[in-house]
Parts: sequence; C-alpha cells; structure tokens
Amino acid sequence: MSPLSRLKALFQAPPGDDRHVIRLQRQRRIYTRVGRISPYLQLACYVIGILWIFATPLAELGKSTYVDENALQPGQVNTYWEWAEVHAADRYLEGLEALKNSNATSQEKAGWLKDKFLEMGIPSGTQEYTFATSLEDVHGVNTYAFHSSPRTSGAEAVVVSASWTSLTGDPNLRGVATVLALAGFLRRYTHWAKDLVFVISDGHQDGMQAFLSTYHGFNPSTLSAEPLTLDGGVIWTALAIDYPGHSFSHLGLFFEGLNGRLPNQDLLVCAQIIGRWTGGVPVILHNTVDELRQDLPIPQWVRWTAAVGDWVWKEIVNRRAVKEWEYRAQNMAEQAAWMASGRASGMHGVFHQFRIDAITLFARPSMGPHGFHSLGKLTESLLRTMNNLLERLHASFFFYLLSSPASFLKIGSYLPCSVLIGVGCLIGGLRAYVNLGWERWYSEKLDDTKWIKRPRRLMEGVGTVLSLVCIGAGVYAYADSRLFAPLLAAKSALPLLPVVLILTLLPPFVVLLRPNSASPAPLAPMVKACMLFSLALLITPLSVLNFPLSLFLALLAIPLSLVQPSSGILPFLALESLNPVMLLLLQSGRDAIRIAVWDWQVLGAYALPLACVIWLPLVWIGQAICIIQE
Amino acid sequence: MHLPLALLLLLLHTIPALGTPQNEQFEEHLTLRPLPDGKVHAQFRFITTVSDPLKGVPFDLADREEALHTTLLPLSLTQLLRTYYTPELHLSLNAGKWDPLRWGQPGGALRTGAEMWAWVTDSRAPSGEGEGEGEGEGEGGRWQGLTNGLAGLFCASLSSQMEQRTTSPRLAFRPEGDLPSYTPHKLYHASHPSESICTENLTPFLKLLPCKSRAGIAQLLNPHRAFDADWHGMGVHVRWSNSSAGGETEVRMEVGVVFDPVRVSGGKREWSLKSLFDRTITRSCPAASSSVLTVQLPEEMHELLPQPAKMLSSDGVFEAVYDLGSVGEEMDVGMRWLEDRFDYATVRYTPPELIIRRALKGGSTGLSELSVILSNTRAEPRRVLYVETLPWFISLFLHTLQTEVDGVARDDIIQSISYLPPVSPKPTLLEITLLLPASSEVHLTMQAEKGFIRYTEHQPDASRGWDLPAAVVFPLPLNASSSPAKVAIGGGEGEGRIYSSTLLVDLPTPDFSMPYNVIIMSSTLVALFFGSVFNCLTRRFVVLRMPAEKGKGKAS
Repeated sequence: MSPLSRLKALFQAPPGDDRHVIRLQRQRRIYTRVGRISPYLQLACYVIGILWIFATPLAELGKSTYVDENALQPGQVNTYWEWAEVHAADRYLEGLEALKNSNATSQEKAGWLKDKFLEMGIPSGTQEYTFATSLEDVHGVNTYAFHSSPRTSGAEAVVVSASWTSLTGDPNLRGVATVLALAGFLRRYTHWAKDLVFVISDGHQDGMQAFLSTYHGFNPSTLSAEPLTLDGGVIWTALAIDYPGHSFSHLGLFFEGLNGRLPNQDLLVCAQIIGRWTGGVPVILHNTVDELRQDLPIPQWVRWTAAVGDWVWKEIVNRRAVKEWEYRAQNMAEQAAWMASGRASGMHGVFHQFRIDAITLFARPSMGPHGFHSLGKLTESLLRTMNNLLERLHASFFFYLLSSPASFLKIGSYLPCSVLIGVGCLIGGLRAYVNLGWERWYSEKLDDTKWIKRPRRLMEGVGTVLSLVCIGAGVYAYADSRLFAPLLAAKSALPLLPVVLILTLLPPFVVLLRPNSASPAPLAPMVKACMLFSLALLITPLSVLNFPLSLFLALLAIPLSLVQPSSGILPFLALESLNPVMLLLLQSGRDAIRIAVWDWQVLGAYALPLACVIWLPLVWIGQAICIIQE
Repeated sequence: MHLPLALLLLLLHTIPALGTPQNEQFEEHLTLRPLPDGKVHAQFRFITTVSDPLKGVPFDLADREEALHTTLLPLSLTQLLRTYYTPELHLSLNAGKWDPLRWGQPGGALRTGAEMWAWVTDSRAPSGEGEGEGEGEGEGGRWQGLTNGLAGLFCASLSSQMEQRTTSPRLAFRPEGDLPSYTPHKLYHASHPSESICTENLTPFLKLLPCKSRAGIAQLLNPHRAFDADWHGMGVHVRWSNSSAGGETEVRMEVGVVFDPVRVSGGKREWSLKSLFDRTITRSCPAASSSVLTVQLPEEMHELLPQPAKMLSSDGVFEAVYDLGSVGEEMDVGMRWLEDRFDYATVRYTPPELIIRRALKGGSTGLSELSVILSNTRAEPRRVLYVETLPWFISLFLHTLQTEVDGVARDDIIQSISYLPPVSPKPTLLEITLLLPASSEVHLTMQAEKGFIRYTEHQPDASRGWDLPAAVVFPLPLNASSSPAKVAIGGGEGEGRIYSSTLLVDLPTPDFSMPYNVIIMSSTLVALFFGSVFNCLTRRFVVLRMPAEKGKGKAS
C-alpha cells in the first residue's frame, strides 16, 4: 500500500456503519496510530533538534544587526577627545603604575583616585566592602565620583567604570587611566543630559557588585559595605572599560551578564558602529579575532584516498562557507557557555540584575596600533549616543545570540532546538505513562489477549524524584558551607575520592528504602516517565529565559532518556560520566567548582545551586532507573 | 466719532504715567556671588510695587469692572491675577540640580523643574456677578484657569496633568505676604519635576519687564549664556501686603544663573560681566527707581574691578555695591584672583545647616522603600516640617514609618503627621513635623508600593519612568504653639525652605509595540475556546454501541 492510500484508509470509514460510530472508530484509529508512531516522533524531535543546533551558525538563519531606537543616532557627533586628553591619560597612568609598583593597598589606591577626582572638581567618595564567603573573605575599596551634569535634574545617570583587575586577570591600569582622563574631559561640556557616574571598582566583579547593591539598597547576606555618601539617579546604561595591555588591535565586546541576562542589543550595535566608524577600531566579539581559519593541509592518513580525499578537503573542509560556519559557531558557543554557566563575562555583568544595560569594551592586548586616542574617542561618542536616550533602552532585542559583531539570531531562529528536544521528552514521558496504565492479559478460556487497566505507581515515582532532589539540596547545603572549602583547595584527587564515591554511587540507592508495594505495575518506567516530564517542564520554559541553559539540559536529557528501566549496573556506571561531582577529580574541575561557589556567594550566579538541585539529581534519577528491579 | 475721543482720553491718561509713576515703583537688583567651587551665582531681581489697589491686584471685588491702567506692571500678569482673584502667586521654572553643599542655601525656591503655588480666593465664597471668563466649574476652577493663563504667558506646559499634581498642603506653603481678610482663601500647589516644561525661553519673561532687555541689568540676560550655565531658574512671585491704605502688591521677578568660569576658561575662575554674559551694561533703565549691582566678596585675596563706590557688610559677608542708576559709559565688573589655575582640591565646603537626601530603593516591581535622610548640622535641635507629594500610584505604608537618629530607633521625634491618602488621580500628601536633635542625622524609612497603572495612563515616553517631585523641608520655630496649623512658616522669600532632588521611578511598563500581537493571540485563544464551548453546547450525547475491532490494541 502506498503511503497515500494508507493515509486515506485511516480516515475513510468502512462502509455500512452509523456515521457516529465511524467517527469514533476513526478517532480511535488515529490515536492508536499516533501511539504507535510516538517513538519515531520522539526520535524525530531529538534528531531535528540536534540538527537545528548545528544549523544555527549558518548565515542563512542569521540576520544583520541594526539600530532599532531612532534616538540613538550612533556615530553622528563630532568628538572632541584629542591628544591633550591622551596626554592626561598618560599622566594618570604614570601615577597608577607607581601605585602598582609600590604594592599599594586597596585603601591607598582608592584614596589616590579620590584625590584625583576631587582635583577635577568632581564630588567623590570611597566605599569599603567585605564579602564573607565560605572560601575566603573578599575585601576591597571602591572609588566613585558623581558629576552632576549642568541643567539636568540628576534623575538619570550613565556609569563609566573600570575595575582594577581586568577580565584577563591582569591589572587594568590603562582602563582606570582612561576613566580618569574621561572624567576630567567630559565634565568640560554642557551637553550631557544625564549625570555621569565614574566608578573604579576593586577586584574584578566583586567591587561593582558591592557598589551597585549599596546604590540600589539591596543588602545581600554575605556583603557588608559602607553606605555611599553621594546620591545619584537611575542608571540606564553603563560602560566598563577594560584595557589591560599597552596597546590594542581590536575592540572586544563582552556582554553576557550574570545568570544569562543580556543587555539590549541596541547598546552592542551602537558600540559596534561607533567602534568601527568613529574609533576606527575593528570590533570583535569577546576575544575572538574575526579572521577565518587557515586552510588545513591534507593529513597523511587521507592521502591514500587520492582524488576523493583531495575533493573532500578542497570542497568541504577548506570551503569558505564551512570556515565561516566555524567562526560563527565559535562566537555563539562562547556566548552560550557564559550564559549557560550563569557567569558574567566581564565586570559589566553585575549591572544587568539592576536593569541596567551594560557592556565591557575590551581593548584586546596587542602591539598596536590603537591606544588611548581611539578608545577615548569611541567611548566619548558612545556616551553621546547614550546621552540621546529619552527612555530606557527598550526598542531592540533582549534575547539574541550573536554570531558575529554584525549578525545575530532572533529568538525564533534558535528556540526550536531545545524546545523540540523538550517536546521529545514529553512525548516519551506520555507514552511511558499511558503504557503503564494498561496490561495485556491472556485469557485461557477465550484463548485471547485482552487489555486491562492497572493502577500506576505515580506517587512512588514522584517520591523517588523528590527524594533525590532533596539529597541534591543537601549536597548544595554542604557545598555552600565552610566544610566544603578545604576539599577544593586539595592538590590531588586522592583525598577527595571518598566524597566523590559517596556522592556518585550512594544516593540512587535511596530507592531501596521505599516501602513494599503489592502493585503489579513496574516502578522503573514510572520513575523514567517522571524524569522525562520534569525534563520537559524544565527545558521548554527555560528556553525563553536562558536558552543556552535549556540547551544544556536538553543535551543532558538525550542520554538520560535513552536509559532503559532496570537495565542493571553497566548503564548505572556509564551514567557516572555525566555526574558533575566527577569534576572534583580533575584540577580544572575543582577550579571550576571553586569559581561556581565564589560566584554564587559573592555575585549570586546560580551555577552552584542549579548543579546541585537539578543536574546532580537528574543523573541520580537516571541511575536509579537502572537499578530499580521492579 | 467716539473712537478719536476715546483715543484722546487714553492718551491724556497715559501722559502723567510717562513721567514719574505715582503708585508704581520698579527696582532692579543683581547680586553676583562667587561660590567656593569657582562658580558664580548671578541673581537678578526685578521688583515692581503697586500701592494703589485699583491698579494692582483685585482686592476689592466690587471694583472688578474698573479699568486696568498700569505703566510698569505688566498688564498680562495683573489681568490674570485679577481675573482669578489671586493675591499671592509663586511660579518658578528651574533647570538643574542645586548643589546645596557647594552653592549654599540662598533664599528662594530651588526645586528642579517647575513649581507653582498660589493662594486663591475660595470660589465658594460669595463673589460678584458671574464668574470670570475662562474659569472652570467647581472647586479648583480658578486654579485651573490661573495655570492655563500662566502656561500661556510663560510658554510652559504647566497645565498638563494638573489634576495629578495639585495638592493643598495643610501646614506648608503659608502666604509670604498677607491675605485680604474679607474672603477665605485656598492654597493650591503643583510641581512638575520633569523637564518637559519649556524652561529655556527668556523672551516671555523679558517681555514683562518695563525696559525689556534693552537697558539696566536686564541687558545682561543673554539666553546663549544663561542656558549654557550649570543651573538656571526663573521665578515670578506676587504677594500682597496690608501695609498701606488699600494694600500693596509686590511683583518680584527673578532670574538666577550659576556660571562656571573655570569650565569656560579652562582652569581659571576669574570672571567679568563680559565673560559671563558676553554683554555689559551700557545704559540704565529710566523706569527703575533703584538699580543696584551687588558683588558678594569672598574671604580669600581677590581683586575687584572697578573699585566699588560703596561697601556693605551684612551677616559678616562683605558686599561691594555699584549703583547703576546713571550709567554713562559701558559698565563691566570683574573679579580676579592671584592664581594661575583654580585648584579644586584646596576648597573646603561648609555644609548647610539642613540637608535632605531622599531615595526610593527597590526593584521596578514589588515593594520599595522610601528612605529620607535629614541632617541637622546645627548644634541645637530644630523643628522642621517635611512635606512629601507623590503621585497616586505610589502608596506609602504609614505603619512602616520608622525613624532613626544616628542609627538608633526613636519614635518621639515625630510631633505630628498629616496624611492625605491618594485617590486616583489625585496625589498623596504627607506632612510630618519632626524635631531634629542637635547635630544629628535622622533617617526616615517607609515602605512604598508602586501601583500597576492602566496602559492608557502611561506617558508617551513610557519606558522613561515617572518623575517624582522633590520633597520639601520647612524649618519651623523651635518653640511654637501647640497647634502647628497656626504656625506662620515661610516668611519672606521662602526663607530656609529646602528641596530634595527629584527621583525617577520605574513602573511595570508594558511593551507598547506588543498590542497588535496581543490582539492576535487573544483573538486566537477566544476563537479556540468558543469552538469547543459551542461544540459542547450544540452536541447531543447518545450511547453508541461499538463493534469490536479485531486485532487492534488500545496502546501500542
């Protein structure tokens, strides 16, 4: 039978029946058919979802960026930043280098900066702060200066900031010098419509977190900070200047904020246009230079295929479109990694939680050709653009993936990958749930099989999931406490082995503690259905909030949904490899966990609780499905 | 035939006025005050006094029909005051944030944006035959008319959202002059915190002056310079006093500008009229009975050119006084210091006696906290009246009001509270009388809730947020009578009254590009819902007997 006639048969009625009966029969046939093809539907969802992931870097799915807010008018002003200002920046740099060479304390550095601001006539102050974390106490001193722009009410403000430590980990001396020189320069003009707030924050992100928390009246439990002595208005936009080298070749835009928040795309587009056309600096995303990779030579092991290998190398591996795909994929992967881990890619990231659009202008260290002149000029122009705003940035996108500095993916073009996988989980879960409710019963009398209903063990399934999540919460409490800190400091994996073994092997066996049940229905498929439901419920809504995080869960969901119920100890051990606790065995993994703990306690980045309460229990549930023998 | 006669009469009537005005007097005064941070505050003051009630403001309601003849007082203004029975009126249009720490607290309202308050004859009082033209119905009609008139006169959008902004404080804003005793008067107060009002327009102001900007100190009012300054403000203050026989009306028009010569010259703070205003005074205004330029002298070494004719000392501050009554040649005044560059770092500021800092803390949704810090730097306790006016969508929770003095909770410093809860669209009004201990910092905190407003109530620039007007603090006499309502506060020229900065508050704002999508979405949902409901309603439910299907399972 051809597929078409099969389809017809599905809808056509056998002749001679009541039409209502026919309709009911047709409905029942369709339901049966859908039930029967549901494994293929689930597979198709997974396959299309994964293929879609690989399609996202394609230029065809992308779109060129554009300025949506008409008020911005990027690059339409004459800039006044000239060599005299560069000279001023050089003078400040000398002072900063002297401070650095004399190993000045935070207090001394902040005092020096405050004096500089006061010399310019800008009201200034310092703020001492301490974050008490389970690892260490993070202590520092911020310096801030509030310039009230002439004839403005002071209700709106723009922040120009630099942290003492660059995102590369080096001292950000030139960034600080740029902010100082900008402060002295910008206050000479009367065209500012917003107050200018200059902040030199200590540390990398912690100083700004302390400053902004105090500024907005939030008091995180781990923070103790001095109150601010000056008042400012509502901050709309903020720029962080990061210039660790002695010259720079490219302007890198870092924009990912804490917990996957992004600034309005208009800010990025303006920075890109102004950097390119006012500053004359090539603009890149992060630290990835916008060059396509070199042609790869044909390796030795392909040589024997002669013409075929040549063709593959020439037409596929070294094809321009493939290289472009790789370049875009690299940019998107970096953005996705920052967002999924909930970390901020630079100091700007702590602004987003207070509804401030912020980016870091990163001067990519190099031997040249750019320096204070281009950086100051483009910052001035960018500030002028932000000064044009009559409203908060709201016109352009807040959800996007940037594939290159000038092209992006709209939410509609990337969303399907994780949503499809989430839908696949849902289909699998529903099928398992329906199947659990029926049992094929063989009747000897009739010599026939019959489907009879049986009760499902839903509460036991949910109970298994919940108890493992509770154990995850316990692990979180442990990881967040001071007991865990010494483990992270360990130099070798050996002393950690007991902890790793306990946390990876023991928790799934909690299912053995379940009460005896006389139910004829199996438990393992029920637990799997519950796991698939919770995955679907996590992945789909998360995809509109933090797409990379939902994609991460979707990728975790695929191996988990392949776990067969009661399949024994081998799959149980194989699932170990997905367990985040295994990271403790590697030095780099321990560093990552240390960062996660620090970020959670200082900045409130959610990687640590998420890993403990979602990722870890999911793997345990998968393992529990393997070992439940019912 | 009547027209030429009328013209002749008119001419005859105006001839004596061209000479020395009998009942009207015009004085002009410019004070230049070098500020510690290198800036210069110039305060222009034009005062017209009318002692004849017939020519001034309408005090005798029976004489309303009397013709208005004024020589110096601008008719456009007096007509407004007469029409709306307003013996006292204050209007100020300011741009910029006054910095009390660096610039001190001189008299006069220094609120950012526009502020207007007036004592209007209560419209419920018996009045003459019929209402004046342009007067609305009911309570506040006169106030409405007055606002519209002033908005037209000063080319400012004062009348927008008047209902949302008008309050009638019970304790604050007492009249600076006197009020005619035979009718009750009512206070109206409104402030526009945002700068959508057109403040950068001197022309309507200059038009009210007798010499316009052609002579006298008004010559210096160069808009290109005044609006390039750090702060500028205009004000019109009308008050009536009971001093002379029929009462006396004083119209005071003020322009204040804070210049920054350091910024303009690139490091030096020396200034002259020429450098500040790009103009000098070339002739005196003949209509002015007195025309004086005063320069307040700083304590440091300086040089003042030309040498003043007279030196005065008031409250320990020396003032150089120049009489501009007969300016023969070009008149320029300048001040120099013996320094190459102005050094900000050496400046020591004396904090003002009373400081207010205000902030609304919290996210854009949910509860926020209004936090007010009042600092009394005097070594003696002070009584103050704190007045807060907030738009109706911000509700204050008075039960959460907490007061702390230097970090210690104390409830006894609150002497009285008067609270008018918000009823949309009228604003909240909160007046608290406090006793500030000597040299102390008092924290007032209150929880506030930001309402969810209808989408039609949002302003055109919805994503900007809403500007909240400044809070006002009035110093009160320490040992006043127990009834605070009877306390005369204010006094001359808004003495001692201080303003906080304005605030911008985020409300939950819809995405205004979305309504189209929302309409499509909700229509689809309604259509789907309708389909199934209709189906259920029209369907007949019967029992069907299904023939068994061979070989087909229920589930896969």
